[in-house]
Amino acid sequence: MILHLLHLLIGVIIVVLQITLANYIAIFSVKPDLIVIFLVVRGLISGSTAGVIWGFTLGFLADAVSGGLTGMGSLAYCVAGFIAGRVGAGKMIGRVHYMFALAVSSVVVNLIFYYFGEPWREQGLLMPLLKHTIPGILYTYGLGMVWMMSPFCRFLAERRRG
Amino acid sequence: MAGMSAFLEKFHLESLEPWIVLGLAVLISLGLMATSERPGTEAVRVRTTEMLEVFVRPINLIPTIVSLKGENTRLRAENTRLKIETSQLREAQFENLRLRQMLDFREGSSLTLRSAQVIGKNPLPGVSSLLINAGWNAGVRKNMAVVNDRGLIGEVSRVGSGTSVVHLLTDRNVGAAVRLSNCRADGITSWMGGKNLMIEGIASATPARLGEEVITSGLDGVFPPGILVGQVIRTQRAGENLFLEIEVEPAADFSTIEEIFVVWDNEPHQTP
Repeated sequence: MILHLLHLLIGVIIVVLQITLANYIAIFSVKPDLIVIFLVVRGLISGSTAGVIWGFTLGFLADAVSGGLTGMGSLAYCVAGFIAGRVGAGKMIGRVHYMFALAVSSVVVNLIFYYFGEPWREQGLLMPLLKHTIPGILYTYGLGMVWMMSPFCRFLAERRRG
Repeated sequence: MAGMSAFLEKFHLESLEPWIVLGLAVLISLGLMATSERPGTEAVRVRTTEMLEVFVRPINLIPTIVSLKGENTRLRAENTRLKIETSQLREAQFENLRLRQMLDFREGSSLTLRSAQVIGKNPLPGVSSLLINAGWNAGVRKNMAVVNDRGLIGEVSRVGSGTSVVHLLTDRNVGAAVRLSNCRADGITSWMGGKNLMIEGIASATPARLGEEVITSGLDGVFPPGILVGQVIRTQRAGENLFLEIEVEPAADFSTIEEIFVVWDNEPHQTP
């Protein structure tokens, strides 16, 4: 129970970092999606069911502070958690799985935001894809790779194996 | 969750559990989207935002240089008030020239400003919003105008007890009634992507000039009149179109907002 609460606390902190810290590392107003990175790790470790629940919860928190359409974040992130869980099949298998799950989840999440956020209504189909969606995917993926290479991530992986 | 697992095991459907959970989550999400504007959903969002505020505040305190911040806030408030007053005086001057006989002018600014810090920005792609550390307890109400020392920022779209969500002018759902300061034509701003705004509803015969200031007209009943919005950087007459295409560069830089002011309009202004 305490472990679950601790994980929930970490999840909440990730959402908070997304609305605060992520703005400081934005490049030309393109921000990395810390929530997706967190969900991929959680989904790989805990499986699809937990990934969906995590994704829905964190997505709802992000929805609450966004001022946008409620449900958009929960939909996008629950799908991301599900994908990561399917790739990992409940086990943290390896870097290749992480990279694949991160790439697919990031693309799916950004496309859901692209579709339901409807920037294409004003800017046309291509422009928001080129200016925000694709850079957002690349930035999230790049940061996810940095996280994977970091000593802290290696330490956690070693500990998990041990 | 355990109950559902037992139920699925009974019918040998364990392998479908993730799919069923995903289906439920997707259905609930779609349901939330459909009821996004209902009071019940709104109340849940407000409560959730208030809960997150407990975590957001300490993180925002870290980079703050406390001693300079207070002084800075006071000076910015003063600066903003003066800018708005200047803008309104200019407005009054134009009115005076045209309506010299009528003597129907305001004697001073009726606006009150309440400073607030930006504690969060755009958590999701495609939504231009800010989370500020002033809410119901500080007197903030829905649809109040929000400005900074450069000009109009947006409007308050949701209010919690200690925080509020502000939708920026660069959000597709926000439009402000504006006036071109020289030619006196009225229109409504809209965002078409990018950094700039467009003004809709201005007749193609209007002699709009480049560099002309754009201010709020007050006709929407939301934004008080006389607040600087930006300046005209492009005008185009498109064929037989009845309206001008006017592009406006906002006075405020939406990417670097740290401190804002919520505007109390103490005097009822013209409504449509």
